[in-house]
Amino acid sequence: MKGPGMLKNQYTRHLEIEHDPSACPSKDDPSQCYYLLAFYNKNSTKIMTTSVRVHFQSYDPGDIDLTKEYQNVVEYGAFFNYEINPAVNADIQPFIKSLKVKLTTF
Amino acid sequence: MYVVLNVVVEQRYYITSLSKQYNEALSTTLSQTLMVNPFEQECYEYFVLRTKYDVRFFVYGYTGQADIYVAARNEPEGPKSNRVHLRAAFGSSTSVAFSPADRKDLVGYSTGTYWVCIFAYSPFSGLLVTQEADLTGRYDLQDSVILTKWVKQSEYFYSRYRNSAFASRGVLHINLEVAQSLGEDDEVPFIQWIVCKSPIWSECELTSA
Repeated sequence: MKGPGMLKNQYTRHLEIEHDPSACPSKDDPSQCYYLLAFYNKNSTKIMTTSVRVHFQSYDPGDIDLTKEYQNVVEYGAFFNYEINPAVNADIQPFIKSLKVKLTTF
Repeated sequence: MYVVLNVVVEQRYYITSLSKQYNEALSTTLSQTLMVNPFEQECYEYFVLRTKYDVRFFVYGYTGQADIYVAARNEPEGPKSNRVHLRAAFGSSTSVAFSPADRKDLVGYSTGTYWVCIFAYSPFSGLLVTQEADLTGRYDLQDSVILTKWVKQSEYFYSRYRNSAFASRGVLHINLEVAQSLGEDDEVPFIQWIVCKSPIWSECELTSA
């Protein structure tokens, strides 16, 4: 059991967990790995209205195929990583002269 | 609908109209599409049937900003009404949960009518999903979907989280926020965690690590 997280201000606590797939019980399918999170109100007199938000930020960015368009939803304060790599764009990437990224919101 | 005006005195008249749709009762089998105009409130009624089941309302926002709040028995007049029992934290996708004990001890009754209301600050659209199930006070968390819940004094509440991207390394960010101001001796609840040894809820306990 680990915790209890860092206080960011009077109202907020933040915890970061380094996720390592090798720590998951099912090595064959880490996507079935579960984290149990417990929130303990140690105050003896006060009922707390608590809000919890969990977000996983993967170190493995999504591959970009330069012939395709991508759509995604980015939450406030969050971000996505994408990667342009020669493995996916073997026929194009060695010959790129310039690269333009067009971002449209709707 | 026809409006017939019998004018006796010749003057300049204005006819204005305001319509409000009748919202059907919520169901756990059908999700509800939401469209709320700015500075208006839309409320949906849900009848909690089972005394021992948990109830959870999810609002997945597509566009706009809105307050989401829940009242019991009577429909609230607005977001600041004293009929509001629990208000979701501000975010594009959010949920509020009531355990049977929360409903009995803090609302006053475990079954009966609950109102889920949305007050929009800009044109708001989204999806409202209702869940009533025997969760035994344990709630699955979805990525970036806020869960708002009461935690009584000297008590825990439990959640579980997984992600389809767990095959790669990364960082799990957990944010916990309390809604009320705290006194000098009060503390924001602690977060504790373990990696479950089994994907089965009942086989995952804090003490099993």
